[in-house]
Amino acid sequence: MQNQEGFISIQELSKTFGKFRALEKINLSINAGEIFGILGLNAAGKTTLLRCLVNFLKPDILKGPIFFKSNPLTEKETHNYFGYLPEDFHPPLNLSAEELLTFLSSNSDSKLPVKTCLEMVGLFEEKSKKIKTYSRGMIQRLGLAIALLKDPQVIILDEPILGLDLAGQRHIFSLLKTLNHKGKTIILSTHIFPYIEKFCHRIGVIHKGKLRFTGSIEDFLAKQNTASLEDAFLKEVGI
Amino acid sequence: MKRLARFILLNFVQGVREKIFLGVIFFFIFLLGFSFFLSIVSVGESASVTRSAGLSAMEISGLLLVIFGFTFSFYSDKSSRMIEVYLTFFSRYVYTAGKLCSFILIAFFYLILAGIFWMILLMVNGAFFWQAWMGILSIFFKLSIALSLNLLFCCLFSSPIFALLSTLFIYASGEIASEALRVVTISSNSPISLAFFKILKYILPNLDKIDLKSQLAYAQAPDLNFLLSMFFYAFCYCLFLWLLSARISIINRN
Repeated sequence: MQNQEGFISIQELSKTFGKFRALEKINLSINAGEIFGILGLNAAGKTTLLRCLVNFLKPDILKGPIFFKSNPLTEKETHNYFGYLPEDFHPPLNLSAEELLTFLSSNSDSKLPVKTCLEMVGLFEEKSKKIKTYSRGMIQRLGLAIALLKDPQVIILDEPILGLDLAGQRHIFSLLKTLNHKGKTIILSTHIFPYIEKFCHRIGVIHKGKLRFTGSIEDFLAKQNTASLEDAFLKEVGI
Repeated sequence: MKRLARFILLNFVQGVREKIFLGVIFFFIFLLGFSFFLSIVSVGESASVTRSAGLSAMEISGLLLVIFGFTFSFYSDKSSRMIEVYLTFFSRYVYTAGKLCSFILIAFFYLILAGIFWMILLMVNGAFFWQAWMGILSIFFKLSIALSLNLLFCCLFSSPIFALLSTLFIYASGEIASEALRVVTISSNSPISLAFFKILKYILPNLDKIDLKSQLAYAQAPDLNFLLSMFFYAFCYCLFLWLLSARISIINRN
């Protein structure tokens, strides 16, 4: 079975939790090497969609498998090619960054050394300190370092700048831009519109479990007839 | 296998650095001190009381360590979202196996430490005999079974309290299963209830069968064949519960 549309392709993905419909017939295609931003209000379904992508949750309905490089995505491919930073991530406090990354690294293909991962996120100097001494920004960077361990082709980030100050936010996005220039496909969800406008090639807008828009920011602004992404988003979700 | 080994090591290092590990060691030392006091006041039975009470202290403290430690670690992974990160590296089978094996390793490490203190006390009280280590081994097998039960209930329940209480309940039931069946056999004439309790006895872990405290209290060591059968029983029971837990974890992942 092959699908030629997009680097990652999803067709009619739905997910319910009891009676609550979290996602409804999501059709999404993500291109290789792009930064794709997912926008939505709280409880829109952003986290659920990302969790389905990394195989943490099983969709209720999916028209065919999730496609990765035109072939059905397998669990092994998720383990080897996808890096993931969940929302509100809290690593074990009584380990050091170096210990945690060393324990998680193994002899699979396409690996980055622990030292390289820590240097990329700017944590090499603090590698031996216990994680309980880390600030929120350092913890987010550690999460990114974990996601980079496998030298993944796809990096999925759920609210990567949650709880960070302005400097921390800029650092993370600057890092993501560098990774994107190296060929990584990045899928992220965030509420911070200035960074979406500045860094994302395309966006998807989710509202009440439905994907209301996918495309470039310019097309989205034209659709809503406004120059502000924030205003366009609020119009799209009906606020 | 390397991913599993590294995950076991990660959880082992985390587990022994937790305050609960240190707390249980102090608790054990307190219990050991109490057993020493008991041996002094037990006229003529000092050696047997030292052996039996010491083993009981190891079992109680070990049970607290593995059940509370494991439950805390398992639910902590969920609340901290670390489980989502781990599952991008390996499957749920590896995750559950790694969690179980790491705490079995913690239990083993703890029993080695506790055993050293206990052996010293045995020597001081003139109660030492070299087969005393078999008592530690039997406690290790019992704690392994308790851990696999705990893993099952942690995968089954979203509440850590339910998982904890269920594990303790089944553990206690496993200790008295044979005795309860004997009482039912004597007091009941119904073949249905007899059959039911017999099936229940075989499903529950037969912890009283792999308990060596009463034998070792009087320096009577079992033979090697019995030790081997204990090992196979514990191994098969843990393996079955792990497979069941991993399957439940996959079904419950939503």
